[in-house]
Amino acid sequence: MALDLAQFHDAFFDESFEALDTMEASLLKLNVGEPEPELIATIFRVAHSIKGGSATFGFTEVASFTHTCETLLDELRAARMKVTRGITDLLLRSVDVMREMLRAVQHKEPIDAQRVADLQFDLELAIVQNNSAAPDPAPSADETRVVADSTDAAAAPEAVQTAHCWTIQFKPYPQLFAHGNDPMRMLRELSELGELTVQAHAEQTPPLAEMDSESCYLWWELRVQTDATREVIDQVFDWAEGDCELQITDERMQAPAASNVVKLPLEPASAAQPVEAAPAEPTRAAPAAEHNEAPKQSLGDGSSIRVSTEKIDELMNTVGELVITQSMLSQLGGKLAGPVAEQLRSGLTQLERNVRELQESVMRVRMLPISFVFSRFPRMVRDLSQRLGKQVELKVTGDQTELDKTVLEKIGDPLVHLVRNSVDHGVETPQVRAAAGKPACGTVYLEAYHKGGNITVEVGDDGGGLDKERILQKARERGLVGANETPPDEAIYDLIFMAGFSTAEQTTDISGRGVGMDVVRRNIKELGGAIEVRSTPGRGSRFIITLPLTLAIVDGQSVAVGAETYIVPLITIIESLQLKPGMVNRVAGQGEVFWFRDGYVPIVRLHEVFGVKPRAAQLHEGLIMVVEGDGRRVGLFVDELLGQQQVVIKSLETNFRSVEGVSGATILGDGAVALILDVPGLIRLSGARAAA
Amino acid sequence: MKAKSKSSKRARRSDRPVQSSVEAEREAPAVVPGPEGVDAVAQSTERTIVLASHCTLKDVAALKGELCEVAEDCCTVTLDVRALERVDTAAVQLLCAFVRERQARERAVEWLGEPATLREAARLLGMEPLLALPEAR
Repeated sequence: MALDLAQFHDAFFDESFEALDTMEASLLKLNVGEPEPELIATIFRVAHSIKGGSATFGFTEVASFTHTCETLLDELRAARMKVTRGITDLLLRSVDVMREMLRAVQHKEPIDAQRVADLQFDLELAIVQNNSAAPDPAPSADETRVVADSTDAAAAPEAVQTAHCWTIQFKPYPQLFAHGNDPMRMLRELSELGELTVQAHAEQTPPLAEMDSESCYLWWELRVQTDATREVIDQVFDWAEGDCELQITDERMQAPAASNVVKLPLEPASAAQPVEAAPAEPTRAAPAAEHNEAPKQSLGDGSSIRVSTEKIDELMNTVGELVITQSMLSQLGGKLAGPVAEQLRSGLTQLERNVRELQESVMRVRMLPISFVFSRFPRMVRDLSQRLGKQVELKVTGDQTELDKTVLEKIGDPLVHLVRNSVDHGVETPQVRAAAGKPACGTVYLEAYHKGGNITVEVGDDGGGLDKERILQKARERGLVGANETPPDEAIYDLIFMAGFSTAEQTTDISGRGVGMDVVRRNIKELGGAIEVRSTPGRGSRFIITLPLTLAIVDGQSVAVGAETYIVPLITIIESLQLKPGMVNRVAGQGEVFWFRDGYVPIVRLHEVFGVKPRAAQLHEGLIMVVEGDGRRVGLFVDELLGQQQVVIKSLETNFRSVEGVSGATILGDGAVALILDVPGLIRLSGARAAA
Repeated sequence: MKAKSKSSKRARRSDRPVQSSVEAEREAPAVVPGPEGVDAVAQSTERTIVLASHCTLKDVAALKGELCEVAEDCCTVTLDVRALERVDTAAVQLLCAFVRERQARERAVEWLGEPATLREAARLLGMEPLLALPEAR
């Protein structure tokens, strides 16, 4: 069997990019002067595993660069080198370079060799300078390694001082080799962490003639004396997850805590090994109890599997179909009579509950903490503020708030724009701040929280706030606001979302071209969300973004028009009412309008838009549903309201083609297809019809 | 290592201490003397299996075939590791199984060339004793 390593490239790249994010975040958290050893260990691990992986796959340039990084990090780890601002900057630049190199390798593009060489030189220079500055004779990188090792080995009495003594039972499943894992790599990594004792077991190896040379029959008992944490040990076996049975315990911990035992269950047969379940009863070995507790433990240890989003989407789709079938059955069950029908209905109720739970579970799988997006901001704010000569602190709250993956992916760019604006335009320079009696260091806030079934993300700063006068002046210059007209504050601030609107006196490469805020609003609207701005002069401004939890399901109001059913997203509905004859006026160019609250609202007859024969031809015979989209209101004329329900959105574009005024479709309980209305699109469509 | 590999099969014995061979390499690169007073008994027939420079998962199936062919041979089987540069766990596992099989039949396995790569791998895996490498005998 020829083993194609290329099949593991994707996983390697995915994990490496994630690891680099972790490295970046840890570097930003690193305190200059007194760094936390845990953080340095994490950063070191990232460089180390990328080096190992890239060497395995033959990405020599990446391996060579990360090796230099690793050497520097080793100096930091051994406290032979101090963490300075310069070193942190150097390492952050290294993260960028590693990211670019990996991206280039991934897309089979050329690597910017000059940039890599320059930075590698800087790294080496930093190492050499440090070593020559040190009182001890300067050791080379290799010698350093030896010194570190010999310290571990020679200091036998000191070995007691290592924080942990991990005993590891590592039992690979036969397929471990075939999945590209080599225990030798793992043992080598462990040996680099501290003093490693290895006991190999080859008893299970069959006679030569009978053995499958590509299966693993070996298992190991390992003991590592090290300062490395459990997390670091776990990472060594990351790649083998699912391909081995692993038990890790710390001998130093007298009572083995349940969390110190991890099992990676794959084969039920081999998973039936005893698991220490509770600290109080370390020897308990009741099989039934173990089976119940095993999953809990794996959860506690954060063990996870990587699943492609396509698979989850497929699952989501199937669950959607199941919801439809279930509601079809429920409708049918409701029509039956007799004692059996009663039983059927109770079964159907149970089914409905289970389906709903299943749907929620699948939805949860798609949810990711917003920290995935937030994590890029500390670096961005740091770099920007350095460039602008400002002092800015970023405060992030609620970064564990979960959002649908699709929403998360699309919210990144708008947030980058807003944060960049806050640093560039919002927060003032230290001099201006001092003059205004504010602390020299400005703050940019990033908050995420749940609010009424939606997620709210706020980006704010304690800077000077929006300049109302200047916005108004610009708006007057452009004829957006009349010369004597003074709109309310909210409306003035809202002007910044107009395309091409900028009050910046000079554009910079960071912001100020007036391109962006309109795109930000459009992107957020496309997600079914909304953005508003609040500002207090001298105190700062806040952008408040409201987002739906998911794009896969919508809370809708179903309405009947003739024989058709349409779904109107609940979020767009303001009110439903019945018009009395005489309330409707005709206005030239706008068609029919009626007075609603504080203004005239145009009426859109849905049956006319979609070419359906209505049951109610007169406005007072049907109902008017006032909806809002893109800041405009219209009254949709429908025959009747049917009910509210959550519907699973099916893409029209994928299954048919894009239709204006319709955002998607869903299948109803009776199997009929209902279109989900895209209210802003519908308003545009009706406006065009009225104008025609 | 090269100098060592030039030594004849008969001129070396597996129980020769490695250190001496290293010294020999340094001091007299061209000739490696055999251990004092002991010359390997000439075998009437000998089978040699040459391990390629890379002996990893993708090569083990072929290697296993070769090893199976000679596993039951009465003659001494020599494993030529002079070219070996890279070895993985799958290969070490296979070689261990072969050595164990030969030992069970009380048949000899000789090593040609200094098996440093193999030794390092086996040491890391805790399998050095199982391979019965020269130093370990």
